[in-house]
Amino acid sequence: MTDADTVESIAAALRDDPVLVHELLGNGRTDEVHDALSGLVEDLADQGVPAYVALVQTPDADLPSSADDAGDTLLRLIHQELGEPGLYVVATQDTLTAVATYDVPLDATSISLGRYDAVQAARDDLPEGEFVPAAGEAAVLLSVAADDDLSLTPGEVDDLMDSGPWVAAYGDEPMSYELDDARGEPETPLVFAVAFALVALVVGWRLLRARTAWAGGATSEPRTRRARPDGPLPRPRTPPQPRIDTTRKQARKLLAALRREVDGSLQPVTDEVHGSLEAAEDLVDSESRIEVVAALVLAEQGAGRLRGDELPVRCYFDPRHGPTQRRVVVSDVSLPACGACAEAVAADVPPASLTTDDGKRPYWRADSIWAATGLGSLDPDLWRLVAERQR
Amino acid sequence: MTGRVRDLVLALLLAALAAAAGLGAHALLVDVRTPEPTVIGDRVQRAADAFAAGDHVYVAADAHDLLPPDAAARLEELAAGSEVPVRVAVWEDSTDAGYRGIWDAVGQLQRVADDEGVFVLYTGPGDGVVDDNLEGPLEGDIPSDFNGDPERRLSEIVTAVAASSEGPASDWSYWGGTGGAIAAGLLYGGVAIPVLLLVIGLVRLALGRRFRMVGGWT
Repeated sequence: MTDADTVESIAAALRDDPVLVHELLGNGRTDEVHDALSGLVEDLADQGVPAYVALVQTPDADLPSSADDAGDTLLRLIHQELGEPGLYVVATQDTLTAVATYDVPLDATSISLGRYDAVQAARDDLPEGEFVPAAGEAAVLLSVAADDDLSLTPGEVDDLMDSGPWVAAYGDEPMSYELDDARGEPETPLVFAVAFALVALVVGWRLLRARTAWAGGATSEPRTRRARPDGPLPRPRTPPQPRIDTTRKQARKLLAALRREVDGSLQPVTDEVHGSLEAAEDLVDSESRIEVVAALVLAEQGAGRLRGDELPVRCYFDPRHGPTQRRVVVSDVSLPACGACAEAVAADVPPASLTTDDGKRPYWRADSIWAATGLGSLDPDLWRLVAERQR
Repeated sequence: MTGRVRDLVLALLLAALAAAAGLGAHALLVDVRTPEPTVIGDRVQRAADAFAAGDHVYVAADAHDLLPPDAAARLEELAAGSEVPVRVAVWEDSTDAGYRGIWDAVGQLQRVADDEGVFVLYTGPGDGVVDDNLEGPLEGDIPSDFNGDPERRLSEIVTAVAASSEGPASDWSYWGGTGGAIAAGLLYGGVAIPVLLLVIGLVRLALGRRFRMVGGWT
């Protein structure tokens, strides 16, 4: 199909449809521009003013070289050919947008002046690179003509520009090298994936091992206290650590007393008392420091059982610290603790734990019946486990 | 399952998730860096539709005076015979047709056509552009001016394109291939690990904890 490219064919097209928009002036949305301009033409027609709009390619006609004069000349030629009264708006890619009136009560000069003010107002609000194309200028001309004062306020101009395809906002199409640069090399995603995976693997492993270590011995992670403005950092109070011989002596004394009471008792003595006594007697002369401490615990528990008292419970972290004063929660486990150890746990400082015989770690981290029972602080059947072990 | 095995499985799972996150981060970066494509206007779209329908030459309704139908038919025959795909669009020059300039228009054409080839856009004597989106370089002497009779000049250009060939695509890779990319990823990750551990340590210090975490690497 060929666009109308003579004055005669343009006039003929306008006779059928008062709005003729060629693709080259359609702002990339020719049908939309046509329909919107048709609406404005109908608005004018409702006011009794017929209007004709031709946004067309430069036709084969004898036109002046000046763009201004060429537009006016073409408009006049189209009107002569069409022969209808009305408001005429004509533009080509080579001319300015011309306006004229024929036999209607509107002054073309006033409309044109109103157009310049309105287009200037519209341009003032546009970002760099955007402009009002011929289609927008035609819309402005029709709107000015429809206004009683033949002028548009800046607000009316804004509303008009927002109401249809009247602004050319084309932008720059990215060049292929720009797209290539943005995409980067095809292997770059692999670089990202490997780098992220390696970091996550190594750092994740280290964090997970720390978490495991923390869960296995929650108090094994010491914290430094925040420095106070004055004075040195406070240190948690550490309970006195009795020598093993002192503990052994203390255990023997308790055992001797318990033996005397058991042997002299006129009442039947329970298995728990006998078991505690015998287990303690088996352990008290041991070379193992832990076993001596266990003897002390068992002797004390046997005496308590014999008297029918509540079972005495010593500090989980080191029974030598003395009886339980508080319970502390470590890794969701409630543990009996002496005052100093409870204070240490609360301060997130490792309590002074009884260590394994090699002194390398807290006894409760070893795989032993002492760890399993918390040296009797968690499990009252320590005597039974000792007896089974002896068998 | 021992704690060590469990931690290893979790760390590998983390690594897999991180690899996916790395791909996502790269895609995000590409999105951020990629310039916004322009909106395609009806003029370019019609030409692209014609090319998609199999035409090699598209003459807009306003351009039949530039290239009459019989000339367009001869040019179509010439372009169809070219081994190197060539598309010719002809339309009147305009500032109000939905694109900023002739290079924007030909860029839009290549994008919408979504097909590799040589694209010729002619907007009148002296005005036109030849561009291609071939994978390899176009090896040949293609005229770059559009002076003279439209049919004759466009025929000369299409003939030159037909006589040219597409060179082998460059296999140059910034990373040196897949192995190089993996090595680069390991290198970057290796640099990032101590930095991240340092940051973790500093955060721990700020929270009143020791710089070093409990436990060890084994």
